Amino acid sequence: MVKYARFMAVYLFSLATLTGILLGGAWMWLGFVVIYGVMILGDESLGDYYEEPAYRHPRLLNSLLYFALPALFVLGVAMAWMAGSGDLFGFGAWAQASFGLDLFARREATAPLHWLGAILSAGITFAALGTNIGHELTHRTTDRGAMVAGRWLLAITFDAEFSIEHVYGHHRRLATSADPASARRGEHFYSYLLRSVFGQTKSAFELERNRLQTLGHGTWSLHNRYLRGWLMSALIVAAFGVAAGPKGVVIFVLAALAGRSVLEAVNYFEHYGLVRDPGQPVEPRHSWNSNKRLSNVMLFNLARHSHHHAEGDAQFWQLRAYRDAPTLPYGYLTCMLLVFLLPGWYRNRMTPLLLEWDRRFATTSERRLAAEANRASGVPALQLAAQGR
Amino acid sequence: MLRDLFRRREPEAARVSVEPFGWEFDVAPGQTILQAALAQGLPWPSRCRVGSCTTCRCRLLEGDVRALTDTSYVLSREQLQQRYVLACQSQPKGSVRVHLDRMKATLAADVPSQPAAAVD
Repeated sequence: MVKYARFMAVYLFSLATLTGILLGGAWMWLGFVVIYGVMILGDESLGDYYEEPAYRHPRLLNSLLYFALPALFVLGVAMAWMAGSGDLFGFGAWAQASFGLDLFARREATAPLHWLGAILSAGITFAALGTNIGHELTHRTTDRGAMVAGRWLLAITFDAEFSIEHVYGHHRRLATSADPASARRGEHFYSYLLRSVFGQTKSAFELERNRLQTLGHGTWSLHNRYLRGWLMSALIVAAFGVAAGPKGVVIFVLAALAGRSVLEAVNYFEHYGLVRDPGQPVEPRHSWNSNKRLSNVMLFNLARHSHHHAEGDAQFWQLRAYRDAPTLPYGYLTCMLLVFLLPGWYRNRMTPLLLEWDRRFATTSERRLAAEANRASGVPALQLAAQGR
Repeated sequence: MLRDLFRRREPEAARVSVEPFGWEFDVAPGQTILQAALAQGLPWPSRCRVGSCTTCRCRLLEGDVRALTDTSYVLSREQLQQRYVLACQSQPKGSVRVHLDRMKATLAADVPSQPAAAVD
């Protein structure tokens, strides 16, 4: 039973975010503190996760993914209630009657600095439930229901187009200079962030435009999934506007952008500095893998990234640990915090790992590409290694 | 006779023949052409197996297939008009005949230093 139930961990973390936001005041930091605190300490102390159990009831695991929709809806209502002024859905009166919780007073006692905590807590929760599960679902291009649910989950962070770019762009161009979502050697996180966000949206638009041209449809029509994705996000923003006014819109948009930046931090460290000959297939060596227990359990095995890219149609419960793949120095949330707060330090931390990658994993043509990337990296230790050849 | 009429029909395997190599094999219900070909040990070229790299593409000469994914992201208009399909995303509807442009041995894809142009 444990092997199924452990994947509910992410919902427990989300409950911390929800509870914190409803308690108001300094409690609004609860989700952020609990998620980062437990994940970072947990990944450091609970070690690795190599189990690859057979599941007799994959449907059970599958249904866990879809809980993200109601969970995020409830979180959205809570955010809108606390940001607004009325009593949305009679929620305040109900909380008072059921739990004796005076949400009206809690709301009064909430200052802008508290809201910053709510935004960061909601951001990481949007990324974990929305983006991560949306990613898993939109890989199932054969399953219409999964695609619709996944695109709505992604639309929360203004990224329904991820369902186009990620599958038909990123997975094909992985670890080549043509991929906006593969971080280059020496690239600073914040310059990567801009290149990646704008590069991916441009790529998604072009992929969609080419598809419509192939089918003989116009670009500016409702056939356009790129435009429909933005429409979905606009509807969510509008719902916040109706429910909680301009303040609700500002808070939601900031939380969505926080969630999106979490995705980009993950994109950054998942492939940082790795190179591939565009003519060769994607192999496990083209992703940074992590077998940290909590990172995997919390994120539906996303950290088993080497297998994910080598076999894009595998479901999360089929992903294997790949002990010999290139491995991240820390768990996901630790890497993320370092990338956000100490991007230069993280880049230096990865330098010896990249040099080891060149020696241990690269093919002949990849060594050539790696040497070029080292020369262009601006990182002295990498440039020195390139000269040594 | 009556028993035959009322018996639930078992889904049947579909026969696939591949030009110009003369390969013939059955595709079980729910299986894709590529899965069946690889299970036979045939050197069908493939890479991503999720309908994005187009390495496994082949041209339909006869019959029809059910496409699991939207191949319009990855195949050109000309290719669609010429009835190209992706073997990894195609379940045959009845017997089909397809044309495969190259087999894996002629791709030389396994030599690490091979430039991309030689593959596509």
